[in-house]
Amino acid sequence: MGILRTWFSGVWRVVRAPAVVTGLYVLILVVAAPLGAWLQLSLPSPGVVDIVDANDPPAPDVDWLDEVSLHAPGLARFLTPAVIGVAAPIGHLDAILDRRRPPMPLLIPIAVFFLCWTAVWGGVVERLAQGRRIGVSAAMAASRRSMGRLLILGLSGGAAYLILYLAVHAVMFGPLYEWLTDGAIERTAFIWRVALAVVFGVLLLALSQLLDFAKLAIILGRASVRQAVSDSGKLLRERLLTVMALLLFSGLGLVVLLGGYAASEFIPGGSVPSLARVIVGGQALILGRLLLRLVLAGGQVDLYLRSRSAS
Amino acid sequence: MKSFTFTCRVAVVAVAVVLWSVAASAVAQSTALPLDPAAAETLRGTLGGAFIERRIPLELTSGTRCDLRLSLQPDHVQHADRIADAAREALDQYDAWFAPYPFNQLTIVDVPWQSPHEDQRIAGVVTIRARWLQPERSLTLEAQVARGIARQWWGTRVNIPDRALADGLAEYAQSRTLERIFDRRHQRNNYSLLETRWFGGLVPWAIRAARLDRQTSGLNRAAFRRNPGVDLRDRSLVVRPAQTARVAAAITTLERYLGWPALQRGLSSAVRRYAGQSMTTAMFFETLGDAADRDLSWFVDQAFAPGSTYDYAVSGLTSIADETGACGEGPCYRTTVVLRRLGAAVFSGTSLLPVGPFESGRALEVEVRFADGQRSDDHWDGRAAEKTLVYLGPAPATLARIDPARTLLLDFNRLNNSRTLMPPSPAATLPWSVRWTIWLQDLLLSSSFFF
Repeated sequence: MGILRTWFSGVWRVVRAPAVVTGLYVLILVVAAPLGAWLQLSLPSPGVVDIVDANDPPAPDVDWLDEVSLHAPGLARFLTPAVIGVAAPIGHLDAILDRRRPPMPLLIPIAVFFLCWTAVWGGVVERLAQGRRIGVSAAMAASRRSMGRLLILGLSGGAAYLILYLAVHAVMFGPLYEWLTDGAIERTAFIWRVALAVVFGVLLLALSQLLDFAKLAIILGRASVRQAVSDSGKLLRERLLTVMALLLFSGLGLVVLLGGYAASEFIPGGSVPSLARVIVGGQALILGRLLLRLVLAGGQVDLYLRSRSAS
Repeated sequence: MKSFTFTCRVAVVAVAVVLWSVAASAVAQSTALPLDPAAAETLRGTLGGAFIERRIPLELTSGTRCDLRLSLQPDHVQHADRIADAAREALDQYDAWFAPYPFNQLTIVDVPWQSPHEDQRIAGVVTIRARWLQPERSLTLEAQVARGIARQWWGTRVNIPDRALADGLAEYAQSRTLERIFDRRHQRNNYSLLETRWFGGLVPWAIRAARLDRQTSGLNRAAFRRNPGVDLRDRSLVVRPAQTARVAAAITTLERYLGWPALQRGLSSAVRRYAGQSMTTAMFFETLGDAADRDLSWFVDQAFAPGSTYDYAVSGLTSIADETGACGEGPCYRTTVVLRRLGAAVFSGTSLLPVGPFESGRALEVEVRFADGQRSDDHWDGRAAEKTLVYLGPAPATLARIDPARTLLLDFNRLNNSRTLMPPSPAATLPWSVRWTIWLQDLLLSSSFFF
């Protein structure tokens, strides 16, 4: 019952903070849209299109795309068919699990986004924790107060993730996976890979939860980085079941969201959708993912506050 | 009486036709070449592991009977129907295009996953590497079957010492077969959907919007584009996909230039002429030339020269008002189109050399469109490093394109084949920018997992 209450509390905190949702959505758009516009300018025309009907657009020309990624300058080099439909979000999740980093130049917008996200996260958490409007100045004050420590925590967390990938992932999906699947049929290899992915996923999630609750301790408990990590570890040990349930709900939400997005391709006209449909569907996906992220954060805030008041 | 005589004549003709069909079928059966009955068993033994056997008797459209045997991995049995369907289609088409299938039996052996075993040319035996999960609309499995079966003609029936030529012919043949399979199954004129794989390559996904085209993706043009001047004599395995794609693109270029009937006649002649013998690349193209009644040496010499690439471009297009009154009354525009040959290879259309200022050959088409809807189609022999075309007319030009029909599939950069004076229309590229922006937004959100 406590688990559901925590999750619904997270939902309620997000529902009551539409400005937070809007602000973060705009932040994502502001980082991504200029690069999208730059890409549009660097794309050469795929020849002559005599008639383009918005309701019946031509199917994407994959060969032209390959030509563009090879010959065109700028961001066009990073345009691949992987950007189409549900292949994009699943490809990103797969990249996390399979240790594939984005192309080097795209690490710059990610770094910018990291700085912006870290800068506003203090205010976001404060707003979710208060459960009522706190005003821009209070949100900015909370952000200013915690930004330095959040930055240190974020960078330390990045180093920890790096070690996890370079040491654990490299061994698990390198020699260990090869040894386990040597001479096996593909189906057996799949089962082994799922098992290894579950183990590695648990490690990843454990680290991410440790960092998430440490951030809450920094923002809401005004703890030092070291103290925040220690508090976070203690909370995880005490409320492990609730944390796992929150993650499970988020995971299920993500599965439903991606399933819906994938299913939209099978609706008549969905295989080669109109531009308007691409935009609406894509932004709905982004908004959905953002909401899931915030609901998880809201649930974590609720759990942290209850844990603190109990102690 | 007349009616009775006519009926008798019809009956005699009908009986003759039936007898001829039976005799032809019997001859076809009797002329089937002998196979080593132990070849498939030996191969299975070499590969190791358990196989599930299936036996499917096939009767081709030509009446030829073929006993299809499938040796599948235990986790690939669900693909048996797809494999059999692709085999039937490939045998039917090749039987009609090249020559009757030379054997009365075909065994398809599914090589175990991750097996280092290299594919072999064995008469009556085809090896494929099926995957456990195989999306229905991605025809990569069917492509392997069609490619392997094509090797029964190109490499087995006709011995081809040049690996690149044998691979290229098989690649070309499978591209045509797959287009037919996709059309029959999905009522669309495509090669396949694009397949992407996740989770270490174990989980596939067919991108429904990314429909592949036979003459580009179906020939793996991407591999050719990354190594357009690949040396066809290079025996290393790394360059094999680029070599295969280069030869397949060359054959498809000939298909587009000569027409399918002429090319098909040439392919059939090559099989019949060199059945049971060795055929070099020169012999093959000589046979194609004979069948098309053309000298193709101008193409072969250029298309297969090591390091030689085709790249034609429209490097300049201007349209300015002409005040000299060259067009008579009314407005007059002088349009200048500058064409350039950026690669070393020449697509001329003939081996005959130019005489003085006169070009020889008209293989390259040049299309110029004007604002008043008029269109000019010119030709160029593609020999000179640069050629300038000048037009005087009542309207300015809007567009100039070289090789607008995309005949020369060996042109490795198509992006420079056209130039326009119209403001760029975002209609064709905007969906890509939008998709990419959504992809980037999602990437940012996914990255936020780490911070």
